[in-house]
Amino acid sequence: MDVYRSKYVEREPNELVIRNADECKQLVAEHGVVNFASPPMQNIAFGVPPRSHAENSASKTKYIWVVTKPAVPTVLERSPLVEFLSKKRATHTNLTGGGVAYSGGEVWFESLDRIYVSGASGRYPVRTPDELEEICKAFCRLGYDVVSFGWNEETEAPHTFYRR
Amino acid sequence: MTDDEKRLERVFGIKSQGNTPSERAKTSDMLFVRSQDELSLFREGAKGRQLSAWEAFDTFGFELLEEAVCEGAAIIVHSEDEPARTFKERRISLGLSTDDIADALQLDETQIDDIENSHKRNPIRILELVAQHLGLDERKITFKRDLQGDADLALRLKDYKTTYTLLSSKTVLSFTEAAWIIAVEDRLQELLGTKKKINFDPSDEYGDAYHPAFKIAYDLAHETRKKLGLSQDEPILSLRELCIDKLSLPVVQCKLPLSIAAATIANNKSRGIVVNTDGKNQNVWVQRATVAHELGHLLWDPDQKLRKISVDNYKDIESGWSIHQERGSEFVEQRANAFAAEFLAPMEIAESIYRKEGIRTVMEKFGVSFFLARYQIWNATYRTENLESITVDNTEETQEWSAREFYTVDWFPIKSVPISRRGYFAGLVRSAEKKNLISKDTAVQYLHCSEDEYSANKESIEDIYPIKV
Repeated sequence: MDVYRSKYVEREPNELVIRNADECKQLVAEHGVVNFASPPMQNIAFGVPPRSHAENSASKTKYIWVVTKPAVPTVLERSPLVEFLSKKRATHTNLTGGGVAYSGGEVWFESLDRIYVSGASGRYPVRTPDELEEICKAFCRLGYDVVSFGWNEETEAPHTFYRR
Repeated sequence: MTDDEKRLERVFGIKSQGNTPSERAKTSDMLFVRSQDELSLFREGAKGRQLSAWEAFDTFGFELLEEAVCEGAAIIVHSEDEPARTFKERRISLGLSTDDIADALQLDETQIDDIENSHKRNPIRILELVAQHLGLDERKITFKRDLQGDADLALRLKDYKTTYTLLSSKTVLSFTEAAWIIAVEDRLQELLGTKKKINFDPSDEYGDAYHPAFKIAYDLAHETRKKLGLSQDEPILSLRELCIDKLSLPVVQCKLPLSIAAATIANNKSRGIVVNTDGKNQNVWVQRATVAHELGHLLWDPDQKLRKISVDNYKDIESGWSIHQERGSEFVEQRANAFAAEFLAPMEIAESIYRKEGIRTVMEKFGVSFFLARYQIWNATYRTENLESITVDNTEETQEWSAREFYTVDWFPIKSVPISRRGYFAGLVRSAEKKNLISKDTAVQYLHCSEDEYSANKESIEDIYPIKV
């Protein structure tokens, strides 16, 4: 991720979207947080992007990730380990303790080395199509076959829904 | 501030007011944007459909708006096969090919193929354009299945097209677009609180040997005038305005094949009249009789007679004004014809004027054609007077009548707006946009013009078609 980090700047999270104090609670390994690494990563919940809004809201295989200076922490958005949070799910600020990050998004592991990546985050959204491309390249360099959700010119934001 | 108030403020902004999402949405200045699959807060440069807070709330509900604000974007996909499935099913139910739609809307056939392909992401503006012309609720593309497409209307249009071969594909699409306009006009009237409701109990009496259809129609015409507060000798100066102001009934003008005079359409619960601007309706007095004829159907025919769409040809209506009308036309049409004549030019008054001042004065006073006026006078004399003896030198309509009935089309300030979307419809669109119930982008899309044209002329639209809320 260093190439990506060298081109973009860290920023504070969008505070306007933070509703509960525990959205900034730092989650750690005991909550399932791991650092993104080259495949194969251990104990991964395999899955594919949702096919509808309803599936998205209930997805048990969606991971969220952020790029910070030292690492790329990731965690299952919904799991028994994060159900204690007010939202019953993890948010991107739970990966930073409310601190700075370059960007955040979502990822599904279809297999150990094939992932679907979106740049969707209310707190650290990917800002441009180029930034999304750069992040996907970085995941590729880690050794993954990456399927990007892509950039939505109609909302001027990363796509949050993937059409197969 | 309570948690609920904070949530409302986060979604609808600090300027919004009220205690409920609905109240907040109506007073919010937030702007959302949607694509085929996603909804988010508007960002500069976004090319999707911009939605006012009320539009977004009314379509997607508070939870999704909150998700869009807090998560950056919300997925609005009902299922992966949408919207492709709904578009394809609708096209097939109307008996149309992808080529038919592409031709009529001046799109490439591949664009229609893409819309029906669930693997494709399509530009929202193309999806909306096609949805409107198929008579679908474009606001809920991808979000809902079927998009409130009236299945019975589609079935009847397909019947007209395939069984009777009366309608071309292009005409079917003109009618489905008209159905969309009727539904939107109805919805905007509800939203703006301008909708009026006068009850008419449908009548299934169409006459017999002792009580002919025209006499029943005359009673219905008298009752209609009474319900609308019109005296028997009062001319109806603008039938279009009467339909709008007193009945909240959409009258859509559009170009149809030369044989067709008009139609009545029901799109789910919304009903309206579609009038051909071509052919004999170019004469204002003929057009008034056509609209009055359709009004007779809409107000008084029971549901089983008033099918989802009933298309009237000029020859059906004209036969009513001939001496052979009892033999020539269906009893439902006979009654609608007689209703139109009596509603526009009550027989007794017409005869009285005829005796004193001649038939031309009847025509000019009530705004009716020579044939209709003659029919009324003939009936007033119990059909004893020789029809051929009732003549006139000048059958031309007057400018005064043309101006009153046609001004909404002729004087519309933006020439690129299709005839079908001019007039009262445009007034409602502007009024809803001014109140921020719809976005400027939606207003522009509804009127089918450019943003510059709309911005330069929106005040004129408001002046010409003021909406009394």
